Amino acid sequence: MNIADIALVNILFGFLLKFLVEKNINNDAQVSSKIILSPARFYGYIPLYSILAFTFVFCSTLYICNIEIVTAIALDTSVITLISFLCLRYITRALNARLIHDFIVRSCFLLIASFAVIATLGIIAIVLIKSVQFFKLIPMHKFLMGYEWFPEDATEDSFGILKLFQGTMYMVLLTMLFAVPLSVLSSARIYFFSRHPKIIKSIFDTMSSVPSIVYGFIAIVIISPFVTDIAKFFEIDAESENTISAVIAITLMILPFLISMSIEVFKNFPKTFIDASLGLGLSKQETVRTIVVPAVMPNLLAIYIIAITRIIGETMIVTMSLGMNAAFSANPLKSVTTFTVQIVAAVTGDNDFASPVFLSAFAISIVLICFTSILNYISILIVRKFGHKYAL
Amino acid sequence: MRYKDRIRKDKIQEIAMNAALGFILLAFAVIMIIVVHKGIGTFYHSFVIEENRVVKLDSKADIYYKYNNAAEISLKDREKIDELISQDKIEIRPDFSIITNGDSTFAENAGVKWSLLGSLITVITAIFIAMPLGIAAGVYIEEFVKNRFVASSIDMAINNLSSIPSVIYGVVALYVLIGTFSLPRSSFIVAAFTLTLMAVPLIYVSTRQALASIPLSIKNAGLGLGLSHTQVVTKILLPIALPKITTGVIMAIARIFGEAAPLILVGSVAFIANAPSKILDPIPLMPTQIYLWTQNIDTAFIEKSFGAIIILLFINLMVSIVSQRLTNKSEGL
Repeated sequence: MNIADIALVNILFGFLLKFLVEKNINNDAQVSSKIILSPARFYGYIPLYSILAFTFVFCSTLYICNIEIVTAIALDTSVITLISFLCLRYITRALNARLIHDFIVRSCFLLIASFAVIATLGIIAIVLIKSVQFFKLIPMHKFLMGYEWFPEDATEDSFGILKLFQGTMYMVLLTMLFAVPLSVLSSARIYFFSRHPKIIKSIFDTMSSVPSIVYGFIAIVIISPFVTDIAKFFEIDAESENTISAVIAITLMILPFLISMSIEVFKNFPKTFIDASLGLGLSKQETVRTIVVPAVMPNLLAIYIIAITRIIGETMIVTMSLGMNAAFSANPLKSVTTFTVQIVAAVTGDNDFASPVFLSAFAISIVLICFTSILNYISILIVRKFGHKYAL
Repeated sequence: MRYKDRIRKDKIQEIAMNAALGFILLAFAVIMIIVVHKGIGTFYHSFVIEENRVVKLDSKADIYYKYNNAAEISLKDREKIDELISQDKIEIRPDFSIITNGDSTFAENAGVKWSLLGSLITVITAIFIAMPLGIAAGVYIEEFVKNRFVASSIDMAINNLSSIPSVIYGVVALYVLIGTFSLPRSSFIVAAFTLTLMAVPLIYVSTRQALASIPLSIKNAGLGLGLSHTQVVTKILLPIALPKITTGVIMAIARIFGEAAPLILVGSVAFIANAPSKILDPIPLMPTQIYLWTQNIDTAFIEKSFGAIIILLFINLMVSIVSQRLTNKSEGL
């Protein structure tokens, strides 16, 4: 006999006990004139669940500790006997079994949910703890105010996040410069003027789930050679790892998301306003330009802020197309560096888990988490304060 | 404003809108055509046909023959191939080595068999761990927590986590799983746990949204019939919310299937050519395989990557079609 056999026998016995208890309760109800407080099956659940819980705990202990199988069987038998005695003796119709059953179900939910909550809150806790460790090695003001980023030196002055901040913001600025006008114009075109808005929207929905590694691959294989060829044609100096190809790839990645979200926003704008505006003699273009877009502007702004958090967090495209060196150049044909690239560089290098280079990844992470949280909060605030309240 | 000016402005707006949409569609179409053309090209290979044997060409020679691209091939090989071409001995035949083979150091033999398998196993494991966690957390915080402050603070934390960059999960998972628990590097379990961390907040958010969208009257009807609160949740609310939760789960699958950044950080980037023999052996994954191939010096691997990208996009397309169908169905309710 091994652990699996014990578990199987226990579970079978649990079902047997369930049957016995239910029969007991039913007989009891027939003998007495009083009604029972819950359906009979709820009384049966109590021994079943207790035996299942015991089996789970017992078998996992057996699996971890080396207990002799004979002792284990003896222990198991005695506990099961105790449980069955208690159940048959004390489960009577006076008990409200449904409340107990509810309590068991609720505690199961609580147990699993607490796992999830601990795991997710643990992420934030670990990032916080490790970044505090980093700030013990490198003073915080030097990290936040410094401009030079040479993590290989591992001195106090070599971790300056401003350069990464500059590079990331430059990327965000360039991307939004392309993406905002394109997305507003094309989503208005799709929703208000095209014949089959649903089909085109579903195409863009599909596009928005394309993984970013595909865009990263496109950036280095298709866009970057294209850009360098054009630059060569105009006799301008261009690096093969240039900002503009990463920006184009990120724009392509973010556009389907922006378009499908903008169409959602237009959809929620009440039709009656549009009809009223058309009835007053405005053309459809004028309605879109002067009525719809100004009214939904805060909602669109919230979408753009979410898009900015996605651009800041974008890793694969920038890692593949910008390379790892920490440079900054305002020339879009040269490369810049971002937060995420330097996280990848710090972690994939050959560094000890306690070295400042590895810990710097956590420090950048905490900055990123702060950024995304603040931007998220701002977007929620904008919608709550200024979002249109015309829903009818 | 004069009528003429209005008409002119409308015209300008129309032209701008058409140009924007046309530009976007054109850009996507061009890129898709290049990717699909090259991707389908990887399912064909050129062979040398002799009297009673068929020899597979080297990948550089294959690129030279297929695309007439002489950038990589050496002059000597080129002369040989030209001679073979003049004798009409080279033929392009369908070749599915990209699906039937594992990774290889030779581009003409490399394939994604084991990485496809590894990705599927990893994603399935991750979703099976993440699904109970995310759904239970969503249900508990939406329905059972009485203290509003606790509920809203936990909700805010998890909501924020669903939008933080995925690379942070990689850093944390590397430190916890490999640094602290010292699980074997590049085994599927490390990747699965990393993806689980990513999927839980997504599933949590969709569960909460699904439960919040159910009208209160349904819940009250259940309570009025004499069901307890727990029974209302498990017997009425969860079945109604199920389609939307399923959509959330499928969207989480689509999100984590192509996720490469955290997996590169936790070190799932080993070169593995053979089938893993034990469960915790290193196993390659689809996105990291593509990343490795693009980092390879041999440019023939970039041609191969197009094929892997096509397979990745195909799976993604299937998943997103399923999720859109489910969304349409649940919107109809």
